[in-house]
Amino acid sequence: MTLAAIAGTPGAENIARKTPARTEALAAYGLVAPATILLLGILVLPTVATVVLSFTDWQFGAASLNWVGADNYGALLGDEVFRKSLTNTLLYVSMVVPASVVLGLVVALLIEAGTGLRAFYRAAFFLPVTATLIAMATVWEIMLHPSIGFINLVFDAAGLGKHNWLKDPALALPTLAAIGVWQMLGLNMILFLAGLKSIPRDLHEAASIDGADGWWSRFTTVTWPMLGPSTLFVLIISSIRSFQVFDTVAVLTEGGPNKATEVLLYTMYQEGFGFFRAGYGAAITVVFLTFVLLLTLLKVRLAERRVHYS
Amino acid sequence: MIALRPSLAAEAGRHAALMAGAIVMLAPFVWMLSLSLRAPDDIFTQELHLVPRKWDAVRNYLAAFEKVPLLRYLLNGVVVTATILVLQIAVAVPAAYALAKLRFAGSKVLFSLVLFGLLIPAHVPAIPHYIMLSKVGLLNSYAGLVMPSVISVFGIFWIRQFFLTVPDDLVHAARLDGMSEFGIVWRIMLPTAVPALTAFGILSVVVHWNDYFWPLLIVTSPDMAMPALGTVYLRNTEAGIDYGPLMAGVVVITAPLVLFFLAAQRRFIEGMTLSGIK
Amino acid sequence: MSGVTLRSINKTFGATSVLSDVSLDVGEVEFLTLLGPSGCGKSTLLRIVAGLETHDSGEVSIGGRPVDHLRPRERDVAMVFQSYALYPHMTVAQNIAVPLTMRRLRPWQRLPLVGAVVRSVRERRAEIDADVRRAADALEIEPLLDRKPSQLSGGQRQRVALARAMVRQPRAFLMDEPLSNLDAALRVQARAEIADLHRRLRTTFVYVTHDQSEAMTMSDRIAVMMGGRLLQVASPGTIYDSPADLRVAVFIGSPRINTLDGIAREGGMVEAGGIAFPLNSGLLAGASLTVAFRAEHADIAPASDANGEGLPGEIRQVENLGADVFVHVACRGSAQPVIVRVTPDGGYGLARGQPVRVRPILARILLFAPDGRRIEARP
Ligand SMILES: Nc1ncnc2c1ncn2[C@@H]1O[C@H](COP(=O)(O)OP(=O)(O)OP(=O)(O)O)[C@@H](O)[C@H]1O
Ligand SMILES: [Mg+2]
Repeated sequence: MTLAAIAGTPGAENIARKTPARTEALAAYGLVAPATILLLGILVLPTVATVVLSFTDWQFGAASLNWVGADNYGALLGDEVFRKSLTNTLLYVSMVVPASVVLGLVVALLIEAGTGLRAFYRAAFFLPVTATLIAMATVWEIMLHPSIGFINLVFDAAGLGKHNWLKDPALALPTLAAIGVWQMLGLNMILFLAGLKSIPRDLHEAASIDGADGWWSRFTTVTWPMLGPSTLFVLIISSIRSFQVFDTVAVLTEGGPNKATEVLLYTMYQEGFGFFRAGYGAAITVVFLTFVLLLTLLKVRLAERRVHYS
Repeated sequence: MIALRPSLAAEAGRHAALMAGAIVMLAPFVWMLSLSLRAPDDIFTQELHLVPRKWDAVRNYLAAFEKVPLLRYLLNGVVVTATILVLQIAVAVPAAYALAKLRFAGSKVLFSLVLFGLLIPAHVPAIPHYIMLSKVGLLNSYAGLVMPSVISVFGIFWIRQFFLTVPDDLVHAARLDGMSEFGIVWRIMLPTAVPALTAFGILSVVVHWNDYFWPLLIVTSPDMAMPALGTVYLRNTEAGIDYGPLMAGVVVITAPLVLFFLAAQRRFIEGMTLSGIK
Repeated sequence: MSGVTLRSINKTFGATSVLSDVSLDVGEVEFLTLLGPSGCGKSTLLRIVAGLETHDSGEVSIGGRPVDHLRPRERDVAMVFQSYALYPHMTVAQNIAVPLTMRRLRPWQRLPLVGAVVRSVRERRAEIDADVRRAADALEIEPLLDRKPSQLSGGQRQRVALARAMVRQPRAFLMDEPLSNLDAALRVQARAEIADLHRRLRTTFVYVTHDQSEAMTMSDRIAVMMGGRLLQVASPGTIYDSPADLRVAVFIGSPRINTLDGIAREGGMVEAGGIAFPLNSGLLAGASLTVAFRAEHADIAPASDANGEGLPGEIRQVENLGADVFVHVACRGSAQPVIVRVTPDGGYGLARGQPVRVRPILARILLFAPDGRRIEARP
């Protein structure tokens, strides 16, 4: 831009006049330089490298590497475990995202609807976000214990019988999803609370005067439309996070029983770091990234239509 | 939020629903504490009770510390998360200021790059990171634990959104008063951004203290484990079936963050609401 | 030597031109006000002088020295912002001290605790403290020195902003609507204080406002701006009595100046509102022009007046403000009612719907060409 600025303004006096703008730009480059270098070096280039790696047969520690084109992807298509893993991940996301977003919104609305015990409720719902998931997964494991687990004791007391939550192929994934919702709900609630706080009070008052005085009509005329951007943000954050499900799988089920909880990151971890097939692991990562990006873009598209034109 | 007073019934319903939810959310914490205080035969029982009938807290907690170096894990957690946070802020604040307040060619490109970076989960570049670190011999080190998180695109985005709400005139006044751009970043922008930085700091600490994936990949000796990985080490000792010490260890691992959050709660909420996400 | 000089300043934001060919000379000890409606480019011009905004072409000099290539801090000007722009995390004393510490202490000397160790730094800090107290004293804000800006009222914040500007004796003061956030009573008081400050400091003041009473009461000269151009630069009296442009005449003065569509006639006459005035416009017969006069430069006569002089019309409204009465008269040739100021006695007996004649004082009638330019009328 400095070149363009000089080229566009003939005469030495004009160059001198541009100096304040140029010093501003120079200062800006100095300030963004560390971030830009690190952004490229730590995020962008390694991501590109992952993509490149996915077209090779490289293994950790191997001296050579061969270009294999789309072979890894071809192998993925034929890989029973991978197909299961992809389906499971999508299933997991489709259970966790709606539940944690809707519950997060409901809790936020309920907390804001009154004044009593606000701080307590906020803290109670947010606590699982701050607690180490691996550690809490261990607690959940004991709570889900087939014979002595708290949950089974409660279920038994209620006459619903005991279940082997983590070992039953039909129950394992939904159980992990429930833990996921438990863990993520609080963050969504906080984000919605932030969105609710940013709605000007007069807007609610204006809506009441305009006749929207019931709780539901006020919600539909003011709260929900004004929450549009927050909702989009929450949706994106929670789908990206739930796509990354790994911790609970790794410690509670290790993908079992019978691959019922095999998820993408866990498969990638096993292939890449368990079996040291870096190329294959990279291909799984690329699929993972593609799905995350596609899903996010889709949501942004859908939301843009509504947020802007409603 | 509403001018009208809600009816008594509505208020009671609100409390009933929220209280039920809160009980579910808190149940694992309560259960964890309860188990960490009990003797083995009080744990392996088919009866449901919260208050221990046979106390064995001291043995449980001592055993937890004996089996694995819990304090070492906590120390690792503090060192790594603090280093990450300081570096993230040092890198993100100047960039966020430039993106929010300065005009320079390429700012749009850089910001799009930041937005794109927001969508890339930390696991995606993990394999190349691993290769890089093993090339320079930094696996199983603090540097290796810190490296992938030095840059937080979320931090840049978040702080930029906050800086957008700072009036331009404040920056102009500082320039006329004789500050350099560098001085403006650290003397004006940073202090005004404290609420946003608090919220960001809490999120960053929570994420890295609790991270399991990355330490799992690069940590090879028990003394470099981060808290989450340490929990798994504890599980893998025979304590895995001795629930009392296991729960005691889990309490020790989770307590610092939970207490930290409870102490900083008000500032955190304030920071979240002040910041640009709306 | 002069205070601030602007030569043919041009500025565009994207495709829209915000300033076109602005030239202005502000004297070394002059109080000059930039006056104009919202969005006319006043703030932009002021910020170009401060170096906060770059201009596309033209030249700015301060104290006779071209400053186009200088950064804001090197221009030695102080600015008071409409929002005051106080640093929210610093106390009042720290706020006022910032311009001094930035200039008198090197970066390493500003680090905390250095003052405790190095004697020269300690001495300089003491000097700075003394200067801060002096400035605070002058503006009577000493008791506030330890407070944060959020603990101050609007008027107090405004004084702190003034103190921060005057503490280092800059070559020129730039003020961008510094009073617009104050209530009416406080504004009148602050106005007097700023004028007083100018008398004491005897430096260049460039003051931006869209409030004409501020401009009229405080300034040595007023520069009236509209649509990014300077229309007239003159003393308040001249601007009011002898506007160079119809837009200036209309913008200045309350109530608004009366305007009538007129036509130049042969023999040094101008016809407007159905009657002919003996005014020599120097234009060709048949040329259209605008006839304007202020409310206080006319009186009301009964319609039945025998000699029938004055603009015939009908009273629409009688507005009694106590000391003055404004009579609104619908006349031919004027889209809006013509407003005439009369004394309460003179207004007695006037009523809505009554036919009257408006008699402007011939010598005070102003003529403007269709492009808005003033035409000197020779009666
Ligand atoms: N950064 C900018 N980008 C684009 N247009 C701008 C910018 N800053 C100002 N403008 C435009 O330039 C014109 C002049 O703005 P300026 O702020 O100088 O007006 P002003 O006379 O100070 O008005 P006010 O009395 O309302 O403060 C306005 O039309 C404004 O919209
Ligand atoms: Mg302005």
